[in-house]
Amino acid sequence: MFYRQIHIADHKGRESTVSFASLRHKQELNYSYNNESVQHVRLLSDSKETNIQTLSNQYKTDLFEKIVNDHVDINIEQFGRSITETDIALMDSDSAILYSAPKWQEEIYNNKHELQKTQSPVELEANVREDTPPLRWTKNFVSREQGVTKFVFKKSLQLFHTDGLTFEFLFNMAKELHDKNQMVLLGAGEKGTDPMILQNNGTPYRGFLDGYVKEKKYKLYIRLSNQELKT
Amino acid sequence: MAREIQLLLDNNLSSFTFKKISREDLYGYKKRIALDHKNQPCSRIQIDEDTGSVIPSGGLEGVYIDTKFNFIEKENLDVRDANFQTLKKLESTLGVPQKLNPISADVVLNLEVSSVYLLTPSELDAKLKERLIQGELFQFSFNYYADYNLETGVLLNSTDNLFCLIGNICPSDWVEENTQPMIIEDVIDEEDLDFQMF
Repeated sequence: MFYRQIHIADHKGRESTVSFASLRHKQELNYSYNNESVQHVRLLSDSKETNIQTLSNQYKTDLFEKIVNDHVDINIEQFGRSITETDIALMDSDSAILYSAPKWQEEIYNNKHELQKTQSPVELEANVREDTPPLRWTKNFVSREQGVTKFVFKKSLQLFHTDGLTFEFLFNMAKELHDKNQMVLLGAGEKGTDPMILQNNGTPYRGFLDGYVKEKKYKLYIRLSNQELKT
Repeated sequence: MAREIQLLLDNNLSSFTFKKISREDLYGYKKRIALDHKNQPCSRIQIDEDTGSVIPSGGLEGVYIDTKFNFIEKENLDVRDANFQTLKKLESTLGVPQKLNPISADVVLNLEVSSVYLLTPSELDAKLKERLIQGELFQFSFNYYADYNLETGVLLNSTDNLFCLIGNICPSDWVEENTQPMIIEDVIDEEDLDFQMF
């Protein structure tokens, strides 16, 4: 069994490594036709030679005539061929294939979608792993009702124990929050104040720990938000 | 006229125009661009593993074929769920009054949000307005386009604005001492700016 792990501290500052899963809505759709199964395939509909950019560069002002009279945009031999496996690559401005870019650039846009500046890429390292400092409770508590009207919680991670000790560890955290009827903001990084970054160069999220208990059962979630509910 | 979100509370109708709010519209965003030796942007391509031929962006079409390799239009396909029960295509709910039901915050937190809309009432029932101002949350059925998945809409009031969250409510189970962790998939992520909420 494969699952991801997370390093987290409880309200008393004790740390442990536990498992987590993202909550997902799954809808399995099966397609058929006249009670027979069908297959989804990918067919070739364009090529490097017939691509409009290549043709524009090649024929310039004669392009329209070439398409109408010589059908240069269609490759009868190739189009419609079934494609199974592909590799991702890049094509440079001279139409040469590159397997890695010589240079990367980051473009920063403001909220009006206007380019503000360009810069060398800033790397964001994941800070939510089993070998990173634990996620820590901050002093910021928020009721669930207040939380859902202030932030857009786009997804949730559910925490699971890995043994008897971590069962008690997570159960007690869930009970603490259940009794308070509040969620607590978690902080990542050395100081326990940074937003959570789950993957290298991934989106930074604010994570709120949300817990429930019923008899000797618990539900403990990290509610993830990267957007305030505002205009 | 644009279709509206129409909602019913105790048979009293409220109607709203709506505008999508994205994170990019609030905080901006960043893009990573691959540059070539001339500092010109590169385009992303695929290479067919069988023939080595270059496939430009948009150069593949997904189609359905039957066992005799006949092309089948998607609208002619039968759709079944995981239990092989035939599913009926559900029409768009826009312009069609949908019943509102109160919902608790803990259920809203289990919503996997796909869209956020700012609502502008063209007609707002006074009782609904009062209950929203008091902080009540309501759910309703939502479908932008006709398809096989009816989403959940959550209507709420925040800082004197009405918002609607659209998504799917995710089920989750209680965890007991003998519960085994489920198989986990990768967390989907994307590139954008640092979070600026705090």
